[in-house]
Parts: sequence; C-alpha cells; structure tokens
Amino acid sequence: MHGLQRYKYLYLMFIPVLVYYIVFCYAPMINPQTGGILMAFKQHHLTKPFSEWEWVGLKYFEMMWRKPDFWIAFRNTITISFARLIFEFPVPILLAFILNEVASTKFRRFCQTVFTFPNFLSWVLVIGLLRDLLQVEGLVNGIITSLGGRPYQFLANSSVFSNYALLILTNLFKNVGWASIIYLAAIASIDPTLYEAAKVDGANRWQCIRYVTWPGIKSTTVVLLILQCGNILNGNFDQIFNLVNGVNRDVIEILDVYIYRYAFQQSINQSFAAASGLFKAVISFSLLIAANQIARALGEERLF
Amino acid sequence: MRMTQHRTPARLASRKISVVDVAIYLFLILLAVIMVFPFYNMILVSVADYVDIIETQIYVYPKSIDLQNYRMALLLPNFVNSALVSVFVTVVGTLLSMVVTTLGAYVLSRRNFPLKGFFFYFIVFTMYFGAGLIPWYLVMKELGLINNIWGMVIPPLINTFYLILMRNYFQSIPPDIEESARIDGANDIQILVNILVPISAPIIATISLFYAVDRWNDWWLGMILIQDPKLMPLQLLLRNLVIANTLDLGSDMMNIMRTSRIQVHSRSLQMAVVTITTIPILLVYPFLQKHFTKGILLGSIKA
Repeated sequence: MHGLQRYKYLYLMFIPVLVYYIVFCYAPMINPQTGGILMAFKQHHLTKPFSEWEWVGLKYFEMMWRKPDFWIAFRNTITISFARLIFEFPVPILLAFILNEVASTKFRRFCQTVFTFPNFLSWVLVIGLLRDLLQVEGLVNGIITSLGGRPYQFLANSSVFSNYALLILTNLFKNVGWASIIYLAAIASIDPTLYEAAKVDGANRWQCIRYVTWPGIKSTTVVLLILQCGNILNGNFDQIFNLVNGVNRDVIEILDVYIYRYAFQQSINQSFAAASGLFKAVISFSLLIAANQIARALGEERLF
Repeated sequence: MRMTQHRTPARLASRKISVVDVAIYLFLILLAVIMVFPFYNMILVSVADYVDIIETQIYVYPKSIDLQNYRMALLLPNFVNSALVSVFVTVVGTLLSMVVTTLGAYVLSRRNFPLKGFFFYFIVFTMYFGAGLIPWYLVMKELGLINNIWGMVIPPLINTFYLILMRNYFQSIPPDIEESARIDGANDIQILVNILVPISAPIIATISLFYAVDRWNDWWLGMILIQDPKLMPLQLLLRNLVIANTLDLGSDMMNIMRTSRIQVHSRSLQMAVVTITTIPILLVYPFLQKHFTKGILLGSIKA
C-alpha cells in the first residue's frame, strides 16, 4: 500500500504506455473477440463471431506443410538472408576502414553525408528512384543498347543472380552509410596510443588496420553478425514487397510477403495466413533469443 | 631554428600523399557520384519536357527545364489531400509519440520503482514476438481504425527501441540533479517536466526526428488500413503511381492535359512526385545528421 502511494505518479504516468502495449501488441495475440493467434487453429468465417468458429486443430499447419509455394517462400527467406550475410554484411565494415583512412575530416564528413542520406527515405521512394534508372526506357538500358547490347529487364526477370544482385545493391545503396556509422564509432573509440605504438614499431598502414583497427572492432562485428543471424527469417518486407511481381515471385518472395499475399491479396485465407504468421513468429522468436544469449555471453556489448 | 628544423621532416611525412591515398579518394568520389546519381536523374527527369524524354535515350544533362510536370503532379487526384494527410500524421503522430514515449522512458528509468523490471520485459517481449499480420489487423478493425486517419497515428505510437534509447539516456543522468527538487516536494511529473526534459534536449531532438521520419515515410499502414483515396498518405500515393501503377489519374487531369495540350511523360510525372516526397526529408536531414550518430550509438552499445 505504501509503495502504491509512494509511486502513484509513476503508475499514473505509465498507464498510457501500458494501455498502448496491451491494446496494440498483446490484444492481437490473445483476444476472445477476434481470436488472436488461436485463429490459426480455427476455421475462418467472415460473418460468424470467433467463438462460433470451428476448431480445426492443425489443419492449416498441415496445409502449409503441403503447399509448395510456402516452402518456396521459406527457402527464399533463408537463402536471401544468407546472401545478405555474405555479400552485404561486410561492406559497411570495409567502408568504415576506407573512410577511416581519409585524413581530411571535411571530405570524410562529406562522404558520410552523401552515403547516409538514402537511409532516411522510404523503400517506396528508393525503389521508385531506381525503377526510373532500371526500366527498359531508362538510363541504364540506354547505355546498354548504345553499346550494342539488348535491353535487360532488371525489374522483371526470374534469374536468381540478377534478382539477388538487385536486392543486395539496392539495400547497400540505402543502408551502407548508416550501417558503417557504428563501425566508425567503434574505430573512433580505439585508444590512439595503440596506433602510435604501432607506428613506432614501424607498422605500415595495412599493418595498422590488420593489428590495431580490426581487433578494435572485432567484438562489435561479431555481436552485430550474431544479431543479424537472429533475424534470418525477417527478410526485408518493405524492400521486397516493392520489387516483387509475377515474374520474380518464385525467386524473391519471402515469408512476410507470402503471408501478406494470403492475408490480403489473392486466394485470401485468413486462418492460413495467421497459421503461417504464427509459424514464422515462433521460429523467429527462438532465433532472436538464441542470438541475444550468444551475443550476451560473448561480450560487454549487447542489446538487452 | 633548431626547433623548426626538427619539426619540418615530421610535418612533411604526415602530409605525404601516397598512391593509396589517391586511390581511396578516387574510390570515395566515384562512390559518392554513384550514390548521388539517382537523385540527379530524379530531378533531371522531373523537369524534362515530353519530347526530350522520348527522344533521348541517355539523358544525363538537362536539355529543357519544364516545371509543368510539377504542376501536373499537384493536379493528381487527391495529391493535395495526401500531402495534408502525411503532414497531419507526421506532426500529430510525432507529438503524441513523444509524450507517451517520454513518460514510459521516465518510469522505466527510475532505479527503485518496484515494477520496473516487469514493465521492461513486458514491452521488450513485443520486440521478439508479434501476433502476426491477420490477428493484428482484426484488432485494428475492431477498434474502428480502418479508413481512419488515426489508424496511421495510434498503432505506431510507441517504438520500443526508441523508448529504450530514451530510458538509457535518462538513466545516465546523475540522480543528484533531481535530489534537491525532490526534497522540495516535487512529484515525478514535475521532475520530468521541469528538470529532466530541459536537460535531455539532444535525445528528445533525436527521437522526435526519428519518429517524424518514420511517420512521413510510412506507406504500409496506409496500404493495410486505408481504402478511402482521400485519406491516403503521400507515400502510398507515390507507391500507387510509381510501383503498383494503380493510381487512376482522374478525368480532371486528363481534361486539363487534353485542352491545354500539355504532354506529360509518365516518367516525369513520377519523378516530380518522388522529388516532392523527398524534399521534407532533405530539409530535416542536416538536423538528423547532427544527432543520429549519438542515437545509433546509445542504442547499440548500451542498454
């Protein structure tokens, strides 16, 4: 009672926050009226209330198991995430190394200003910008045809290589500057006397990077890599949703886009969409927790 | 004299520019050109006139400057409405988000508040597990947020990550600062408003800008929750025009184009809308840049 009185303002102040999380995060999970995640186990009806829906057990999960397009989306999610880990993840680190070698603060700041800007634009806008360059009448195809090539359908083709390159390059365009900030900050926090000592020992520029800078940011890199692994099932919905079409669907459709399609677009099946969503959420949850535990065990830098 | 003699070689050594330096500069300049080029192309196409767009395949320098495309963009059905919706969502959304986020961050930063730990895990859990699209959508429907401008303001009210950033900032403020006020009998609301908020300007500016950019850039909520074209946010209109090709240009605009014999290439029209949508971000970018390094660092390293 004493505590309640003593902290009454804190409780009062927390009410809006609590209400927000209950209504917008927890009510969708557990909800006697709309069904929450339980609707994945019931037959969906548009007109009847949830309480009258029929229990169907694991019917939608079995359906998911048998649907080839689900496994295509599942496979795409994982291969795209791995491709990103291999080809995207190291780029901001390399950029940070390069920017760190620039002696002029002004030029470095200029570069960072330019590289970071696209991060603050929406994916709709970024894809819109790039579509104009990449479409058949666009500039890139203009150059290709003037060199004697044939126009290439960058935005509508089913080649794995071309689509993955598009995903990785557009994401780098949008994010590389932003992602490199954290590495630059880690580099900035390296004790400058280490560099001086290395120079006294006769280390050249490459040796300084290899023996001072890299060890200095290694722990940050490992932690970010592990956290990224925890996110393997969360492709980049915003990016892929704005690039996906009938031609490249089998190559780039990821689970989130797949779930959206069954929830709102074609052959709508809300219970099935809820089941796929739940399947993804459960695996994703385990991966994130595992990634965080590993990151925590590894060092002082951690998320929670 | 001896001192200068002694200094000169060192200064020369540090100024010596090697081949590697030149390569790095060239590489970064090339990269900067590649990064800026899409924006250059955007402006170029948006001011090009119809004939130039049709006739020139490799259009890299302006042949004509024609602002008609912008005039037509403004005449797109519901363009002005959409811009107003986006401004409303951004301004009101950011204000409300900041109030609620600050309150939450303050409460979770109190060291001896008994439920601190429980509340913290209560909100952090939602970063790891979500109900999924359909169960979430059905609750929005129950709440009457379909075709409702508040649907783009209230559901994204709190970003848990930003709330934690702010809590970390409050936690890093030494408690003695508020001690004397507490002895004078100030309650938590007074301490937050009169003492913590004024000294937390950097984090408040950072998080406000993050929220504002998020609200301005949002098209997803509009796509899911809004069907009424009058309530569409600008980013959704942009998506319908540029990506989904589902925007009906409307008979008014067709009539104007026919009677005034204005020819507008769809690419120019698209790029004009893209440019208009970029401008607000460009305007806040210098402020963002001033703060975001702090923001991202606070978030990723501590917690």
